[in-house]
Amino acid sequence: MEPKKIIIIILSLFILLGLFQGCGAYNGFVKEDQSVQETWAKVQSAYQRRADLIPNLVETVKGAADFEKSTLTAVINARAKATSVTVDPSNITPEQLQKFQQAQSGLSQSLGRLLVSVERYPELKANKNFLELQAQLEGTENRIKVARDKFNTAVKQYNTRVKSFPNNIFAGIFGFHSKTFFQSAKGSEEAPKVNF
Amino acid sequence: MTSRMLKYIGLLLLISVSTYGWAKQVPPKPRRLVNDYAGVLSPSQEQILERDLERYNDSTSTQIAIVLDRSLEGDDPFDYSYRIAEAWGIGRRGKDNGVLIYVAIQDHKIFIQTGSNVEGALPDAIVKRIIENTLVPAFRRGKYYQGLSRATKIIRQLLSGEFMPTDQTGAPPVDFVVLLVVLLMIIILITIIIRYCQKTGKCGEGDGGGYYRGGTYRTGHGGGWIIGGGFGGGHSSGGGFGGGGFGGFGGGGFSGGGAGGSW
Repeated sequence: MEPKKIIIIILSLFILLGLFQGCGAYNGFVKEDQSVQETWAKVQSAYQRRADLIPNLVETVKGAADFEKSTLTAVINARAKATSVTVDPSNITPEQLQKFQQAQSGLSQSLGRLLVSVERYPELKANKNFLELQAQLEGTENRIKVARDKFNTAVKQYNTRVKSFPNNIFAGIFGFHSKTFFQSAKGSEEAPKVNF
Repeated sequence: MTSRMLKYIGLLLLISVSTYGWAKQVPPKPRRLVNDYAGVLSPSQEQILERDLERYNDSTSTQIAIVLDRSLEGDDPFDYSYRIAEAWGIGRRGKDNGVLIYVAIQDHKIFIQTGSNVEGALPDAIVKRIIENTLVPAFRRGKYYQGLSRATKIIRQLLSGEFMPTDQTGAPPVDFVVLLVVLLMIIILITIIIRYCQKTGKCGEGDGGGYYRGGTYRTGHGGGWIIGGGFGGGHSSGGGFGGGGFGGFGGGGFSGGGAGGSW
């Protein structure tokens, strides 16, 4: 075989290999990106679940005891603020994440304050309805924690893939950028954890 | 560049510390549903519980596991029981129909983890009710077996009809299509090259023949190696079926559902 042709064949094989590599990398990015989006959707639905519980909680608290109004209105306002901020899973920016997280931690704090003041109302603490709502609320906080961890794991996997060689070359070509983690604000995690 | 990297590493550390700090080690995956690490059940009580739960697993594919621990060693009941449930994979993959009843005897703590698809039939409020009305009163009197036996019965009743017994391991289709396409492309490429060679008649002679000859020479050797390597495979399949009635956990997923309590 002529050396020229061997070179051509080898070159075309290399190009083909590069194409395969590129396709593989691209599919990998898409898959990881999809899992980031899915896990983010779960984070949002976990927070939504908490927001859905709040009207019930407020009603129960109102009905069972002569509760201070300011604490309740603070929760209602924080809930309204938190539900107004949503982040599109296909377009998660650090700024949006921060806004979302701030709104949610505001709700966490006012909820925590509400649960602390319930301490002063023994008849409320013995209320069956309230106890079950509290179990649901705790379960929701746990779900939020799990969903957030899973989202961060997905982001970590995605970022590792995008940043490692030779994927980073293809990531640049196809326009896949590294993503930010979802951090909980300091203290917001502890606030609703009130044990009775 | 380095400062960005440092920031990134710091962030990773922060996250790993906040979620896994002071973490108690999860015990290795057992081949039993009832695991009494605290030694509070008598052998016969443990056997009865195990038998009932295994039967329930066989007939409904739903896995209810029990872990009786001595101490949490300062870990959080939810965090630790969640890690066990996820690490062991209680329930079936895709069905996510596992339940874990975790009890830390010395800490007087209970947590029931519900698998992602069990949450509908076993909502948190109901789980809380089982803990407060069934487990806590029994545990207060030290009657661990009675509490667990009644609680698992209630859970089984609540979950009846939720899952079918069909044992579907569901082997994932490993990018078979992609493999086929790649193979096809290589074959096409080779035929194009051969065609081209045949048409021009330039690359058939001399060197090319040598390659083919080289190829036949090698197959003789290769066969010998394959015979030599044939022994390895037989061994591993033998050990796999050693277990008893319980076939092992199936990789079910959890998403934080359930409730906790203390006595």
